[in-house]
Amino acid sequence: MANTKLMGLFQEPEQVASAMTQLKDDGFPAEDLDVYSGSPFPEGSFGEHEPETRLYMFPLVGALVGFAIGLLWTAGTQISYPLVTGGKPLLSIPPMTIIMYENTMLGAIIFTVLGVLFESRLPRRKLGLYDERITEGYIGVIVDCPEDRAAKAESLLTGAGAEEIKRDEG
Amino acid sequence: MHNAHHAEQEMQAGPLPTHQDVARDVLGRFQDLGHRYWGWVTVLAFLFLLGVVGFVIRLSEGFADENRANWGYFVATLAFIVTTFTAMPVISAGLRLAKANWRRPLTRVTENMAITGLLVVLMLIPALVALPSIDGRFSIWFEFPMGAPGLWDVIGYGTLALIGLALLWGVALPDLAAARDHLPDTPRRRVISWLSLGWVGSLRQWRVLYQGALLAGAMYLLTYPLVQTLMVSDFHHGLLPGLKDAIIPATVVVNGLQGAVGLTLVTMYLMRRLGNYEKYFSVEQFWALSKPLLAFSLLWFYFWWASFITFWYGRQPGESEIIRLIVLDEYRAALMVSFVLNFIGPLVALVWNPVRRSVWGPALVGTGVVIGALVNQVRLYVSAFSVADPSQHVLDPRPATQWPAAPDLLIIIGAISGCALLFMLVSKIIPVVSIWEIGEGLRLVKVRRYLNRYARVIAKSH
Repeated sequence: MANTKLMGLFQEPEQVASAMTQLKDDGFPAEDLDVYSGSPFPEGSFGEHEPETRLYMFPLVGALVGFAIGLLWTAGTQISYPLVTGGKPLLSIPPMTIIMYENTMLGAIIFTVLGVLFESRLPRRKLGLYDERITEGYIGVIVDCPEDRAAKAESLLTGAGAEEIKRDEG
Repeated sequence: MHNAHHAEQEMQAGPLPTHQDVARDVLGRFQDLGHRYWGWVTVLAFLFLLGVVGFVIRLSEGFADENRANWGYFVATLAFIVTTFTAMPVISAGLRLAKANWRRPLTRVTENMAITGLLVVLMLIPALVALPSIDGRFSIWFEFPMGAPGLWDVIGYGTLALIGLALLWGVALPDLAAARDHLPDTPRRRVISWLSLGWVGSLRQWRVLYQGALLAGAMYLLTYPLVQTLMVSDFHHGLLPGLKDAIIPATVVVNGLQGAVGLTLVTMYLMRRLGNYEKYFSVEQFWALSKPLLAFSLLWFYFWWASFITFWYGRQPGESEIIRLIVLDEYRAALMVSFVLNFIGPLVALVWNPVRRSVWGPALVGTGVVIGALVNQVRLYVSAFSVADPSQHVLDPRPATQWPAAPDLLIIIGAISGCALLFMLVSKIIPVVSIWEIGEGLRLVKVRRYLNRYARVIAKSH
């Protein structure tokens, strides 16, 4: 059976917490519930499923890539085109350190930006099920459920104090 | 006493506004592009153009070694921007990492200043062209054969600018979405809508934004010292024969932190006076920022003294000439001005509770700190660019004091106006007060009666 999406629009966080509890008690899996808000709430405030992200991996990988490029760029060129000056060591470590550090930070930030976009699922061309009042402080509870459970979800959301219920038309 | 009472009143003011109140108020101001705004933009654009004229005059004189001294004030202005405007996102990054609740109204002001990183990168290019070759003189590049210092300075400064812009854009996504949702359909709104990337504020998005803001902030904190080190090494230390100051990278970073706090205070004061943002930039923000300002002012002296005492007791011929040039003789007046505005003034003023606990006190001290920072950059960089032959082992002869000529004054005024102009322009694309951070903070704060007074109870969110 096809799934449908509903959004209950609430004004008070307490109502959202209550709606989430009732939905979960009624067998709606926590992974199928989402909360849209205009500002973040402390994790677990609504008893919600905490989405797993791996953002921390992106800067780590980016930093390693940047460091490797910096190392290859500096050491590689000095070894490939050796210019011995006054009998000093071929590899000039202090300036290499600066360049490798720069490249490490550059790699880290580029990968972090990509990571933020990827993990946030951005950019989105269409907002989908959304209400403009959310950026004014309203809170939307999104329920992704089979068509035959939509009526139950709607009644639970309304019972918890939702001011309006929206359905995904797309 | 009066100030203390005023601060108390501000703290107990209630009931607290709601997220909706803040969103409507901030977006209302954000939407407004009245005559006053365009008036300021026009004035700043005109002053910026004057700076371009000054730059073109200097450009027409060329970059030959004998003309290097002409670029001293240009480089000092660049260093001033790095020490103040471009340093401001460090405040936001640091306070967010420390989870300071009072930071919320001022983080966006400091992040919007990250846009000045673009001007810094543009100004860096002629500054690098004006540098003499690193061959045969001391530098941190050790005669490194590949693109030093130009290519690596551009990458370093460019990385800082990129991190700043990523921080600014990423943290502003929720407020761009708010502007997208509530502004009338105009070309400006369409740009804002495109920049919001379709943000909806889901649980996943908030989680990622939080982590991303901390990561980008930490990277800005890690890259800023690199840029200051490159600046002072390439444009000051490497041009002054006999100068061997091991702590100068740390000195300029601390000076940058002081400049950032000072300029943040000045910006908040101007926004109160000119933009009617009194309820966002209250005594609490000025009072809280005055404490690190006092600490950085003490550190200003500590670092300067630590460098000075090494030279004073070293007394080698090269060191004696350097100390005469930048401390005792040619640039003594500049040092004295900076000494008063960056150390004595803040120390004398900010030890007093009524001054710290006010709006005007920290703002006045901050103004002095910013002016002192400019004068100090003149001392460091104009003196270095005046040296005829940086490849000597001992500075001989010492260059005379170089006072600013008309093109130099135009460049200083133009570059500072350019930074302010960029801030004004970006502030009409990204709201200058963070709606979501204030909204989040409001939910964590309750004003409670406590015996005979009111107290603000703040929940820890994590």
